[in-house]
Amino acid sequence: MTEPLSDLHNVHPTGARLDAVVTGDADAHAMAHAASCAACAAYVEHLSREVDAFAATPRPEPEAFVQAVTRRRAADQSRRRRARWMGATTSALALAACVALFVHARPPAAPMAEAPVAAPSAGPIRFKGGSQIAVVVERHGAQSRETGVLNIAPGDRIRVEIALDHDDDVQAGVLADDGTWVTLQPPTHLGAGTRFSEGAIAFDQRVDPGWVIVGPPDAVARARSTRDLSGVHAIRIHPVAP
Amino acid sequence: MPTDDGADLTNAELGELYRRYGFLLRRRGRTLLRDEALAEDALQTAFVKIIESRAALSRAENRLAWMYRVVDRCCFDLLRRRRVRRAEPIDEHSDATLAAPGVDIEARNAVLRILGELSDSEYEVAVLAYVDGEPQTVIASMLGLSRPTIWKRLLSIRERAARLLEVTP
Repeated sequence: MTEPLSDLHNVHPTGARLDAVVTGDADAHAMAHAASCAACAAYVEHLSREVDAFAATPRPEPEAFVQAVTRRRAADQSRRRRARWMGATTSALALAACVALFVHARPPAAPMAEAPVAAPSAGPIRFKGGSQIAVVVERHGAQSRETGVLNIAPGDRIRVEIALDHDDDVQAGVLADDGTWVTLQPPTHLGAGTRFSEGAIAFDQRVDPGWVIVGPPDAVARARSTRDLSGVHAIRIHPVAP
Repeated sequence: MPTDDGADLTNAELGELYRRYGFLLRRRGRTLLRDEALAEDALQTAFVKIIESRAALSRAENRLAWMYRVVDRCCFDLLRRRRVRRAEPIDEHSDATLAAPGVDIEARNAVLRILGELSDSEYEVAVLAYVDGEPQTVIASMLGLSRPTIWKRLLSIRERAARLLEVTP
């Protein structure tokens, strides 16, 4: 492994300074250098083509990406709130313990009324509140990770990526518009973290429109029987030609 | 561009940021993580942080550079949290051969193989030195450290790389 470049050896703008020529954020020196240096100009041109191609047809589409980021931010905020609540509860319990010790240490002056025991106030955590769902689509050996509408062609394989910030019961599968159900993840209790579904689905010559559905088993059962998708994550499957 | 700490970015503004910078930021994540799914994960996390630091972004001299640092941090967190082993061999990755002039691709790829094993402070220096090709004085200035400190860290990175990759430094 070579030594990193010394200041005298690298005449080119480095890292983000050169990349920023493509986005228009570069400083004047980097812009001027890129205009006069053949190697940097070639690099910038190559990168510009890729950035332009992406801007024309971003994958995933901006709407799906924004939706995913918004969900993640909400989950983060919810997690932080819970952490603060836990911290406050812990502090309150510690304070209560100190008070109890103090009271216990003091000679009893008078009979004390028994303090009420606070019941845990945290209710069941809604699955949808702290979860991220994505579908990994494999086509001709190449994988892409999708969070918006799935354009599925015959021969594609899909698997679900489930990220939870809490323990929960989870089930996943594909619900075709004709009511057919194919399981990706049987009802399972999952801990916090990210993992892929146990099963994958390979589409044969015919792809039926439908939904990839992920959620608590009772909500999934409701979605299957009533088509009410309000309690689950649902990602639309849109058949496309191979 | 976001300028106000008090107001949330609209979805349209966020979409525009993604359209303009998404490719380069995802490419950065892919370079560091060598895994499409993890790079997407890092990109989403980075955007959450970008939204929440929008005033700092608007003040940044080079917004792309600022966002690269955010992505770098998110990638480090993922590497650390999951002890990621790269799913894709580095040489097969489409970005493996594209690097800015001034970046030693061989050294960069060697560092990419051991990123997950580096400490927080080593990681930061390794990315700036070997992925971006930043000179030591610039790294020292960016991180607010002395040049001898940067040199010591680079030495430590090289020794560790040599151990992990079983090559002579």
